[in-house]
Amino acid sequence: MLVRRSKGDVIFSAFNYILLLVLGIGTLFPFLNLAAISLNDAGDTLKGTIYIWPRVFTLENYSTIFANHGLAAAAIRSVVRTVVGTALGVICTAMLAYALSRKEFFLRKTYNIILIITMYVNGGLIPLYLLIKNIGLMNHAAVYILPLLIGVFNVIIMRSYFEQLPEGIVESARIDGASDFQILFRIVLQISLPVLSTITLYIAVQHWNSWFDNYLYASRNENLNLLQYELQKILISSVNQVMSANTHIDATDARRTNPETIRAAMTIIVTLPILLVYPFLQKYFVKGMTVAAMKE
Amino acid sequence: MSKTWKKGLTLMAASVMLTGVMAGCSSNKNGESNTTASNNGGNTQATNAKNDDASTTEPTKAPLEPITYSMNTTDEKLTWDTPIQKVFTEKTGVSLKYDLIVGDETQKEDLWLASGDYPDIMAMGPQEIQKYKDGGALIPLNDLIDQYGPNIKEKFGEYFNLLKDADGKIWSIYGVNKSREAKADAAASFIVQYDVLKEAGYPEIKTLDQLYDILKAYKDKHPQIDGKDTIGFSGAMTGWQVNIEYNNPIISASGLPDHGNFRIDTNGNVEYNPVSEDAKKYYGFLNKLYQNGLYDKEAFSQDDLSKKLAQGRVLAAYAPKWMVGDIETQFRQDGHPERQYAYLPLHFTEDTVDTSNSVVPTFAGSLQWAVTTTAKNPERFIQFVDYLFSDEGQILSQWGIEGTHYEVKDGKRTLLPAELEARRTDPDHANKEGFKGNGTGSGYWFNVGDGAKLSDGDYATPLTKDYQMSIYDDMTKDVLSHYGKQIWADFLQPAEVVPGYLWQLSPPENISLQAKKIEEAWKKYLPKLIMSKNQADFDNSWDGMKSTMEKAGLKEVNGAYTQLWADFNTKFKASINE
Repeated sequence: MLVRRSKGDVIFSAFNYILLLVLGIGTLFPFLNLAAISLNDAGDTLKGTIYIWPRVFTLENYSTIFANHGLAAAAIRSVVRTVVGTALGVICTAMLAYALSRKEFFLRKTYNIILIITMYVNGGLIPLYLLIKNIGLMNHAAVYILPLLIGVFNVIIMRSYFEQLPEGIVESARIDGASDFQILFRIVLQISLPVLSTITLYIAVQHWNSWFDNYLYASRNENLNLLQYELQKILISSVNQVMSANTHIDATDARRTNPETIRAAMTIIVTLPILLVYPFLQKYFVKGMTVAAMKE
Repeated sequence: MSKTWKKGLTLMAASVMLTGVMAGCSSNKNGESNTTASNNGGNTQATNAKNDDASTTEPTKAPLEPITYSMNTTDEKLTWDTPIQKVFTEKTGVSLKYDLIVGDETQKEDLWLASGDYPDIMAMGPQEIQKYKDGGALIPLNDLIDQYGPNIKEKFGEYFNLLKDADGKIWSIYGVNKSREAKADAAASFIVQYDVLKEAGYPEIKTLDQLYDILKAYKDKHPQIDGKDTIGFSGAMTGWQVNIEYNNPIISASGLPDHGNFRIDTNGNVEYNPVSEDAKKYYGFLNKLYQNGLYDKEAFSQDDLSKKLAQGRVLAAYAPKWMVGDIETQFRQDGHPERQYAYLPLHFTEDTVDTSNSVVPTFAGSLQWAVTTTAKNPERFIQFVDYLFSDEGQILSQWGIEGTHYEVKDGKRTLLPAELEARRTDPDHANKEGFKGNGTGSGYWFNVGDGAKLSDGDYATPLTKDYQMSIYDDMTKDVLSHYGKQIWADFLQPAEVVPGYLWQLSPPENISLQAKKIEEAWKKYLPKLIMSKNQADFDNSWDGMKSTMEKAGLKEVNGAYTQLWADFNTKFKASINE
């Protein structure tokens, strides 16, 4: 049977598509704009009005960034940090979330309250800094891993997911003689793929993007510099160059980098890996979030 | 079930590894960096050799025990491994080890203070100095300078007491300005395109009305530049540049020194500038431009004038040189030197007396050096600073090493051609040679001001008229020659010493609300004034703005600032005559 489309339907569809198209471009625009600026000549960018297409194409902005000699080592460190930090983070989050999801756990309520309090109240930066200093994590690689092991928000999402799993599964495993560790790793996690990938992505992105702990706690140990930190250094030296551009001891004709193009290229460089991973995790991502949210 | 588990693991691993692959790409490209690194190594070796020469001609007296101080910096390119810094260490035994802050400087400095983690020497702004002082992290320098700082005292001279805080102690040290002439790279801030002046036959223009005439003539003849509409005069109203564009030109055109959004008359009365009579004249000028299609319609909505200037179709504007510098380089590179700008002092009338060029006696500005409690043997550091203040130290830090960076020709220090070329082409040259350090108020290594002279009668820094002329392009020289000038600074009057600027003082607190309301009124009426359709309309807006401001407490604000300025001057005089 053929469905006849009335005039109204056609108009509605047309409107709908146009609206969605505009929305799509609008959402993508900031990113496209950055991509265009990152591929545009530094001097030409000064003139402004670059939208989604570079006017004077160049790869110089990228080569400026990649010419930095600390970058390769920093990138490797960032990857190691992300891998180790994410693996440990997900395991710890899962273990805590599992414990909190078990109704027979007698401190369940207490722990929940303790955790939730930390979401609303924190000691502030200076106490945190002193804490890190006093437990000897200053300029130590562990400072990248330990403080981020547990994210309360992640724990709550995971806990909610675990709670909506059929109780029977856990019970039957227990009757078969499985320990809590066995239940968690061999049964619960097996059927929690959506929330697992969601949390993995959360934690990985957090580790990948973080540079603040580098700046705060590890700036005196060059062997701990991360990719984001090195990139920040490049950006700052570009800003410094512009600021001192008019002092006589600086070059007058040398081609200068433009902080705007450097920043754009940097953003593209660090976003791309995440952008590439995201589509593969997205379907789990949405599912993991909605299920957990419904329960909560 | 185990299949899903595997799938999950693979997924996790894949996601993490993809990240890795991406980063791997970047590390590949980084192979090139090795060559740069080895280049640097080569440089240092070469310069080492040069240094050896220098040290044989000037044998050091007693071998000084080496001592290293740590010091904060935000310039990642600062290093002690340079030819000039090598000589510093030879002469004083002192080396600095930089502790880099990448990110929020004050935040890190606060954390350092809280945890006692600070470096030995800190270069900070006045507010941070105050915090460190209150936190007991600094040591007073009075006695140390008395004992070990003869050159510091000599250079500061009558202004030495200005180093002292209200409590009589010296907590930080910074440069002193011995120059009383306009810096060779100084320039007035009304800018006019070379081509406009050329078409008009290089007329002598001194007033805004004369500027209007040549802009009008040029725009009528060339309605478009490179296919886009010619803009007579532009500005930027939405961001912080509103102050530069709609307050500062009024001050300049009145020939007054820059005290921010205030003007000070000879009796010391402070007045909020945007409602002064001169402001009315200036907004009238902008209104005239607007009515005749010469004013940039986008000026009301843009926040960064430099972007517009970079398009090369703005004939004139009010723009300090720092806003234009990079843009002019770009014009030259694009083969459009005629789009560069002339920097002219323009006034309301031809007989306006120009006292706008002013200097403050010390560089107590954004960066001051303080010695913290963690510094061992602080007297060694003061001796180091004293060396920098000596004529020998000044020449070394500002001119470099004789034979390497400069030579003495006809009794005058001159930068060597190779040095000039290196400065022109290598943006990192100043870092590599050691001309750069942490700022000391103006320039580096406590320089005593561009245009100042040392006791040998020669200039203290290489920023001289000759140097400035050497970096101009041919068209700039040609334009200047039509006015019988050699550099843009020739258009300026000799500098007058002022004790300080109003904007350097912390504003009076009790009137902050009124001041805010007044500023809001200013920003609200600005576009109305400039877009007025006729004189009645303009007068109407002007009266509206004035009465709104008066209602908001204009009198109190002016009064409070007058008091602030009077107090500051009293203190200044007292400390000089102490």
